[in-house]
Amino acid sequence: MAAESSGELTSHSGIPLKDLYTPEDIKDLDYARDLGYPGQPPFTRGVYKTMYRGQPFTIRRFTGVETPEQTNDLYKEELRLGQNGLAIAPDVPTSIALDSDNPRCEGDVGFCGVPIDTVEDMEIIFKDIPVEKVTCWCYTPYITGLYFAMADKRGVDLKALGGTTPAMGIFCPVPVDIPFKVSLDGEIRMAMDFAEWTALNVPNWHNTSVSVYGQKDNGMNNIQSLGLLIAASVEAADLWKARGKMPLEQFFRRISFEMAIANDMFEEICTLRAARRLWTKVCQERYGLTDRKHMQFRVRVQTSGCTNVAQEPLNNIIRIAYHMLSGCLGGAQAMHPNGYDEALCIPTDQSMLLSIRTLQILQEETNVTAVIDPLGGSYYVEWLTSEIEKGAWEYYKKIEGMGGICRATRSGFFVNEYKKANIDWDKKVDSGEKTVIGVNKYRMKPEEVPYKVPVYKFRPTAGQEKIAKLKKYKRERENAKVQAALDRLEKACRSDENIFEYLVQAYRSGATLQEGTDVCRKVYGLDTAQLMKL
Amino acid sequence: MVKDKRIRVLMAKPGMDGHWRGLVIVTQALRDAGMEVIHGGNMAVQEIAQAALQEDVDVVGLSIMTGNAVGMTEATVKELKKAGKGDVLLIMGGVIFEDDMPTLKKLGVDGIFTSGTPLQEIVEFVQQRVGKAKARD
Repeated sequence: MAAESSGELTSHSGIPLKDLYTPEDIKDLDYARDLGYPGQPPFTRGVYKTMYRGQPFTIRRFTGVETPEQTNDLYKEELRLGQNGLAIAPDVPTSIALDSDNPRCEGDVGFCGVPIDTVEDMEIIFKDIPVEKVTCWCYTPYITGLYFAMADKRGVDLKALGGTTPAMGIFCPVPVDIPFKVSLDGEIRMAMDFAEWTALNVPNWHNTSVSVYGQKDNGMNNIQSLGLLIAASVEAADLWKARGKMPLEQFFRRISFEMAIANDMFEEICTLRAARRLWTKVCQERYGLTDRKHMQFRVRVQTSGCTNVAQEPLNNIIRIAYHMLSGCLGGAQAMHPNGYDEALCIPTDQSMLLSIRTLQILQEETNVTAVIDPLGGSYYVEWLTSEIEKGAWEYYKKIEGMGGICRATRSGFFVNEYKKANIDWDKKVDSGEKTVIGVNKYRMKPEEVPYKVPVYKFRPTAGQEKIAKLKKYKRERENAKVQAALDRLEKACRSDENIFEYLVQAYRSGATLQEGTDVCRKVYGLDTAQLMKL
Repeated sequence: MVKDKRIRVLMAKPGMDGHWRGLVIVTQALRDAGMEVIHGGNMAVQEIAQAALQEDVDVVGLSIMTGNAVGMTEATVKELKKAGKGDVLLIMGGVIFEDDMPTLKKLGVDGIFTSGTPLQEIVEFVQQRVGKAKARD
């Protein structure tokens, strides 16, 4: 027997690790039951039969800069460089559906992403971009409404559109109060109506997606993130079923997921493998699904931003490449490599180019995509996959035991989980128990670092220009028509009609992002969870 | 009544940005060091100044991750002065461009702590700068 000479080593989620794994550690593993073949339940080895040979992972970066015009240039450049999927990073006001001219947004317009107020902004962002050919990830149903309105105005058949909205992510607990957020009841109505409308009108859209990117990036470990993901997805599926407007299979047909990918390489890989197996189990056992198309855990992964540090920023290139390798070995469908300058600014041209090339090198030079699930069968990988699956299942059951994810959230459970996770992590970094190169080990004084990197320079006047443009737009549009469309939306909100249909119509009529959302704020009230008022 | 000798701090994110990790961690570190910390979360700059006044704080800590540190600080300092709280110790963390640091100092920021700063460094800075003044009260 191997001596346990390496001391108390644990994985990032706290699973104790031995220094060697042998057949003894996976003696309960049954190939057909627990692994099977790619494209077959339980999908441990991959969601598709031919995986990357048949469908290379999509290079989909989450980006946006200070104006719609500049974002259009950026997207065209990304596509020219070989990126093949888009994801709209909204600026701070857009992310919470406030207009650029809202006085409360002073100082936030055009920062961290692109400001989008109107369907015209969306038209500018996607000018000369073949939206029927390039899939697009949209942040919220509200932003997606503007995207659909743009496509419709352009005469594009909505049935040709592909993309994703993490609409069912509403049940994933956020650790902070989001100002002006619509109440959970309103968010549920919007998410469900959005998904039902999209299932009929934009059938290729991933309309029931769930993202736990932010949850992990804010401190949850892989076991917690996966447990949460299952709990949130089950909550959404149960509600879908209870509404009874569409077959349950419809909910599962276009679901997809997003996860953050961080530093513990084997844990990241095994989490993706475990997620597929666990999801299959939920689909079969809880919902009795039988068609394998309804059990596929398709996932986009993105570098967890918190792993990128400001000290010696070029080191992040290496970290990000490892993350992407983990995602690829784990069988992800789409990937986002951060810019190495993540901790300093939004990506510069240089870091954009590097992050696209990172995936192209992985995809086209390293040959790691040639063989499906190349780590399958490793004693360690199979053992760790099972451990993550067990841990995540227990975490999900714990949440279920609290009455489901909504009750657990209201009880304050997750606030404490987040606080604990963050404070623990920081203590470990401060004490040196966890190593972050250049931060708590081999740290150099800034002046000793032999290089500087360029940072993204915002155009300081861009925000003011956007505000002026929106004010002009509001003066010049047909306000009676806009008001009528908003009234119609309100009427739908107060009845049983599909509200997303009327949201898109309102945007098509010239209503702004905030005006459409304000109707929901008015009818359903604001979220008052006050989660992180410590 | 004996005046509370504890250092009073308001921690806030001016504007709407949701990158909250730094704010929460620093809040906890200052509390662990025995300070009275009001965690404001996202606040408008006017709200920050009002809270600083009402809570009679010695320190205002801002966390800014959007890239607009200069704009937000300018607006916050203006409001703090208007509220008669221009004399608080103003500290800041987040994503702060190196090129902006001289401007921020000029605007009245006393300490800038970007990511990766050991928490003890922030605690000691506040204790040294405010602690002495408090002890003299």
